[in-house]
Amino acid sequence: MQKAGAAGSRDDDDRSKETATPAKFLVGIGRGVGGALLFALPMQMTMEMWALGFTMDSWRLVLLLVLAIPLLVGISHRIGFEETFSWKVAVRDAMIAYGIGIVTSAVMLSLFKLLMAGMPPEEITGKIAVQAIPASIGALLGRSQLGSGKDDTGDEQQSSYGSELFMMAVGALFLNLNMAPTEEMILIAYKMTPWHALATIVMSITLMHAFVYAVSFKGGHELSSDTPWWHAFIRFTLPGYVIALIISLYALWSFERLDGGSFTPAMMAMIVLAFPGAIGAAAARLIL
Amino acid sequence: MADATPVKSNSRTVGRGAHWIEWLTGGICTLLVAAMIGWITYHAIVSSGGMPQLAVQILGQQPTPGGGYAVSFTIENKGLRTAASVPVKGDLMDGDTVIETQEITFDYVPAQSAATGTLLFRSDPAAHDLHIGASGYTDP
Repeated sequence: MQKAGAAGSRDDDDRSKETATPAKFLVGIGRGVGGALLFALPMQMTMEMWALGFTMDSWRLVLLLVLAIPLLVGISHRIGFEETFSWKVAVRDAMIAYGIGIVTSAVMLSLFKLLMAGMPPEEITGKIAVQAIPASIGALLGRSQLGSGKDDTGDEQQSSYGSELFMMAVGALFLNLNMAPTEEMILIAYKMTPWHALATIVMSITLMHAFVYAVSFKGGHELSSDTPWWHAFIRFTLPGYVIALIISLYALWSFERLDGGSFTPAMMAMIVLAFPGAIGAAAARLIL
Repeated sequence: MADATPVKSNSRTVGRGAHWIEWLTGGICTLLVAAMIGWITYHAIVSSGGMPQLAVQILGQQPTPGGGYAVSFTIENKGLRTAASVPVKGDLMDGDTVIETQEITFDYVPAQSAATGTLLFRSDPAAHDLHIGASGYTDP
């Protein structure tokens, strides 16, 4: 979290930079479009995602669209198009990203001849709306990650516990949105025996912990020498895994993969989807 | 935030000192994961060697605008294994002669779950004997 004192001066600095060079803003938009394409194309070219636009329950879609707003504002505040130091700027950037997500999705779907003039308006808006969420997350990430080195200042700050968990949720959600709509998730869950599921849980947790603490990627976290390994395991890795599980469950429910199923098959599908979720959560702690 | 030591480096360091809320969150999450592992283990022991058990129950019928009849039903799998590509066949019988046969296929009927479907007949099922049943399944 930034402190108000430092925020004021840098915020002014930001604003003067913007008014001085509108070209910079356009470059930012360009990076946003790049990020949206990079992150959302796999979904825009997935058959299940097209169908979801009109088969998905309207209220679940509305809930997803509304939940995306605080999510985008949170990401924008944490990593942002530029270093954002006030919530006002964060909200503005989040909305720009949402807009980029909607426009790029509409263009891509039209390009693939998935949107045509004769279609009912619900189908057109539904198809775009489903795609707009991953695309807008991509737009925000793209603008920060594809940018030049000046964003790196953000890495040096000590992240608070809450924002660390939030970034894990973003990472998990990101990979889950890619995979939850596909039939393979439930198919894998049906193929697995419970023993396979147990192995998947152990694998997910181990990889998550190893990614962040053991194999020391750039941006990896270190344990101070007097801290036993299980401190970080209990405080970060297990909560991260539970977040990945919850996000998986939400994504599966949202895309109607759990309907009619009972408790245990739903749990198996959740474990399957939480595996990529866990990798995404761990990667988010390193990258973002 | 009562966070770790203020080390200025590119990688973030996890120190000994942590806010109590981190331990509370960690504790709850440990319990949740342990409970899930416990449930799956229990399920693993109980479900070994099971097979799908499919049963069809007719829910009701109503005329369709096109002059036909829609018969809706649920197919329930009481077994502990999932059945895939389940064909459900509905026969309208008059004594021993089959008047009309309609069939649909369910992609999956998950273990201990139910799925619903509808068969569309041209003749009135109320005037004849109606038999609906699953005629097989594949392992997913």
